[in-house]
Amino acid sequence: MSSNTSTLPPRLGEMLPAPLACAVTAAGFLVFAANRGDYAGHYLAGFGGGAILGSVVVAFSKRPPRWSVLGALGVAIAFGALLEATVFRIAFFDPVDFANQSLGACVALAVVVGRPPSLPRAASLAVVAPVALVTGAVLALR
Amino acid sequence: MRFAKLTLAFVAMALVLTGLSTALSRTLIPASLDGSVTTRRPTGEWPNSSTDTWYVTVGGQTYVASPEAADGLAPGTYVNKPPWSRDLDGPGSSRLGAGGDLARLGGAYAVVIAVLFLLLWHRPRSAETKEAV
Repeated sequence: MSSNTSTLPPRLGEMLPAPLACAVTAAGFLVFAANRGDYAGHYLAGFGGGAILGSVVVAFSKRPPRWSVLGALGVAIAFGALLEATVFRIAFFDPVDFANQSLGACVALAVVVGRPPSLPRAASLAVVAPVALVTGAVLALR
Repeated sequence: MRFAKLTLAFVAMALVLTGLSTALSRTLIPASLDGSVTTRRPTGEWPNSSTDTWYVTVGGQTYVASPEAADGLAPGTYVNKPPWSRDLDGPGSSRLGAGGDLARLGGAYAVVIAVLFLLLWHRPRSAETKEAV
């Protein structure tokens, strides 16, 4: 079965999943939980962190990464938990924020799992990551 | 088959996270955060500047609230939002209680799960990928 981006030029098909996944899911948070921008903020921050790790995994993989992505997801979730418990611990460790940011990392890393590594894919993740992190910080701290 | 296991692992992770968030939102948070503003400073004084540290006792626990969160709260103000929430606005407010915000969060999670399924199932099937999978 071909992918839904198979009719696109190959490089565009490799570059689109990361920004599309980020935009669509963040829009879901902003539309459904419009009164809680911090939910979208934490989700986007997690997506950004996951995208950084995803770009690293893609850059260093010679074959489509599989279980290494799950390992990267564990690292992303653990690092997010550490940040939530220390730097961003405002009064208490908020488990809802932790779940949302971990979910963001999960979706970001799902972009690379099982897909052939390529420079365009790594580059798109590397570009999306800071955009998601900054947007997430703005929304979460607003 | 091996990729199917990986797909299941990712989906299970996402479902656990959304379930964790939903369950905690529904139970622990609203249940433990009803209370009132009791003190603002260890000395018992009430600050008159938004730059002072605010202490809010909710659910039997005292938290440090940001000045922005506590700004405008009078002594004894009843809150059932967490004190670190930016929009404490007095009686009747709730964070995720009564299903309002919870239902909206569920909508967002539905979008996330749908995108996750699309990402995991609609992969390019190059010769290299087939070999690897």
